[in-house]
Amino acid sequence: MDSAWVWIGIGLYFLVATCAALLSRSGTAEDMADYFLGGRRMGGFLSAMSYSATTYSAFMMIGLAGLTYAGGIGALGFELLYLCGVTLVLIFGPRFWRVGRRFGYVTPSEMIGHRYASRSAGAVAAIASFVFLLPYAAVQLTGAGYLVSGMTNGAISFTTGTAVVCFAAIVFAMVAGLRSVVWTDALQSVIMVLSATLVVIIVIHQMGGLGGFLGALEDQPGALTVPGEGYFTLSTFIALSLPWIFFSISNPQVSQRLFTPGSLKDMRRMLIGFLVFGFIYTFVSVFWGFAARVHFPDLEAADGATPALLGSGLVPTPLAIIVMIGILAACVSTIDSIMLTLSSMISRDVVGARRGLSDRIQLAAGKAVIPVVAGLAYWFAQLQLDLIAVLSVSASAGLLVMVPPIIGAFFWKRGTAWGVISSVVLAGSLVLGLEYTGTMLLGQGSGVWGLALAVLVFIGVSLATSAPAERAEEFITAARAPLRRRLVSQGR
Amino acid sequence: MQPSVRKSAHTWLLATVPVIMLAMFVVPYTLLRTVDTWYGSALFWTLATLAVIAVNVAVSAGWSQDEAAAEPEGQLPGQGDEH
Repeated sequence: MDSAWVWIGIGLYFLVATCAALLSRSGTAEDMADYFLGGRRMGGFLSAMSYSATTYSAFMMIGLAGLTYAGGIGALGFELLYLCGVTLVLIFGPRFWRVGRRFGYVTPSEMIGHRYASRSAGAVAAIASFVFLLPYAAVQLTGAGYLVSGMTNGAISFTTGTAVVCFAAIVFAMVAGLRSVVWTDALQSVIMVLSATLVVIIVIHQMGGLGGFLGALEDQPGALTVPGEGYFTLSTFIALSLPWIFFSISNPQVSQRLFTPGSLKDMRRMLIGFLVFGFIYTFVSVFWGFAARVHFPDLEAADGATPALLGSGLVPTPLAIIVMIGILAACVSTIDSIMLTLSSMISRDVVGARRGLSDRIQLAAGKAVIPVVAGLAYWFAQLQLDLIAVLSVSASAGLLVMVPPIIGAFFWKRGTAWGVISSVVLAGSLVLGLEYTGTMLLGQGSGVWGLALAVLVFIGVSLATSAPAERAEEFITAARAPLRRRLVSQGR
Repeated sequence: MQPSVRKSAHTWLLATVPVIMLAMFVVPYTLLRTVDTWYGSALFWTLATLAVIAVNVAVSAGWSQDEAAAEPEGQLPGQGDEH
């Protein structure tokens, strides 16, 4: 495809998204909750679209399509298991929301620090999130780089693609914090799902309708079973799926969104809107990978499936450009959310909490951290590590170590700060070690071992140390629904 | 429906989710391992996910009774004990 088309598309996107970001800015956000949580007043539809855009990133249209290209139908099962895992929001969503309002939390690590009565526990949680989310942000830039260079046959380089997306992400995050990010997210989610669905319809039509498409797949032995041609062994399937099942509570850039809806009604809209969006988008991405597999069976890299499809004559150029914008915007929105979350954590839980700085100074520190996070992600992306899906999962595997302290916060009064600190440090180090050396202990992925060790250490160390009983009681009571609170207080 | 009855029904519905998700691991690797067509694992995973979405819709319906506009808001965390 001519690179001029791609530049026009990027220019248009930047223009429209900048307008949306500026329009969303109602005065200058002066406190942390306003900047990072949209003042805890986000509506249901916007929240749903933004939650979708934050979750679904370069990973879906490039990574999941690539995974389908490489391994067949197992990719669908893995992604649908993630979607089912979002059911955790049914249990944790209202609880996060209630304690967020009651105690004024801005970040999930701040909640951990307060619940376990230890700023050190909060700081450790924030630092672990930073270590594991940075590669995930870098993966988004890598995706954008592959996309533009793949679509233009290298006329626009990988480095240029990553730089453009990095720049856009910094601009939108700086304009008005979460409020502007939510609006640009909502805009791009709608564009993304509509255009991608349209492309699938067109491509399937060109392949002789649904019957022709499914027939072509059935001609490839193993494409529609697991382990199929061998990629999706049960161990691989578990290693990929497990971190994603807990994604909605382990990844702070999405769990932080549980603090933002204006009411529980809005949270319900967010949850259901996201599930419907995710269901459609999963199918679109998997169809996409299969279409590339049928048409371009000899691609060098599986992550090239989507760029190859968009750059081919199968998709009309204007539509391909719209889809490209949708994918680039998805990369931008995910990086934006990660940058906002990490900067809020660093400024509030690491810098601010230590020195007792005022809200306004913490906010300034948070804004200053945003370009630093973006710069680090950019540097990481230039390493061009292989297979986006696998890298994303590695990052999520590391965040799995946060699951025991989060579940314990709401359901186990005996949990202690030392339990949190030791489990996050030990299990996080184990995951890093396994990922760095590429070791698969007993054929299982790093997430499986990280989670198992985190559970054991959290429980063991907590039982051996003293728990903040009063704080635990206060927190768990605040997390309960009002009716349940009344029943418990009446001793029923 | 009485709140306590509704809560019990919701608990049962929620309990089906881990069972369905476990089946999403086991069934495609056993019963459907050789069914190499669209109505094999793909259809199973799709129907299982739709069932889980239905549980989400049903259980979260109780959230509509808005509870907390009147809740106390924005109290900053107490100064936690330091390590």
